[in-house]
Amino acid sequence: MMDDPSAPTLDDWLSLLQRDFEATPAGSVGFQLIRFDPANPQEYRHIIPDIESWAIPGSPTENRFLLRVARNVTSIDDADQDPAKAAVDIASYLQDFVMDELNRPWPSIRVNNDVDVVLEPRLDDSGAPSWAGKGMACHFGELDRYLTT
Amino acid sequence: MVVACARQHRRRGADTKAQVASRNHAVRDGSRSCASHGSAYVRQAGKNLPIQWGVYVVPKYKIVSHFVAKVYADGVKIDGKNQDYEPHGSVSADRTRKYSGKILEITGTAVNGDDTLSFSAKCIIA
Repeated sequence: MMDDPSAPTLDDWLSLLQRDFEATPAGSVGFQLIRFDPANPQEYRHIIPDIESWAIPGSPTENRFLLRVARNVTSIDDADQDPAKAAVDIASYLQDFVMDELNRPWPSIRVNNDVDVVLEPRLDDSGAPSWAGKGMACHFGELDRYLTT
Repeated sequence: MVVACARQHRRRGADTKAQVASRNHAVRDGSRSCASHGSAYVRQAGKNLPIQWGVYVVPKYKIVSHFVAKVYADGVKIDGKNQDYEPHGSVSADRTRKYSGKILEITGTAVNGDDTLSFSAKCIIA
C-alpha cells in the first residue's frame, strides 16, 4: 500500500508488466495507463476519441485511471491507492487481450515436462502481484524465465 | 435481463435507414438470441461474484464486422471494446460488490460494410 514508502509504485509494476507482455500481442500494439482528468479531455482525445464518455456522471471532476490496449479502453479502480491490486487488474485485462488475439490460453508453463499450467495474475499471501496457478507461481517481471508459450 | 437488437441498412451515399428491425425480450436465463442476428449473454453465478458477458453474431456479421461495445455500471462507463472480433468481457467481483443492486448495461454496434447491427443488454447486478 502507499503508506509504505519502500513499496513498489504503480510505475514499478507497469515496468514489470511491460517485460512480461513484451513478446505478446499486447506488447506489439502497446498498452498505456493514463490518468484521465475530465477538466483536460483534450490531452488524450488523440488516442481515445470518446474520452469525455469516461467522465463519471454526478462526479464530473473525478479523475480516473484508464488502460488503453489497441483501441480498447477499460477503467482501473483505485490505481493510486492500491497499486498492487491495480497491477493485478491490469495484468488480467492484458491477459484477456492476449488470449483473444492468440485464440488460446496464455501464459502457460510446463510442469514436470508433462502438464501445461495456465497462470493467472493474483495477489500472493504477502500482497504482492504474481502469476500463479496450480501451486506454481512467479513474480511479475519474471514470466519469460518460465514461459512455455 | 433485457436484450434488444436492431439492424439498419444504410445505402451507400445516403443516410436514410432503408430497413430497421428491432425486438425486445425479457429473459430469465441470462442469455437470449435476437432472431437471426445473434445472441448476447450476461452471467453472474451468485451475489457479489464476477460477471461474464459476451455478444455473438451470426456468420454474416462475424466475418468482416467491426465491433464497438460500451459497458456501464450504474451509468458509469467501466469498459469499452473497439475491435474486429465479437466482444466479450467480465466485471470483477470488486465491482459487482461496489455496484450490487445497480444496473449493468452493455450497448454497442457491429458494422459490416453498409450494415449496422445495434445491440444492448440490461440487467441488475446481484
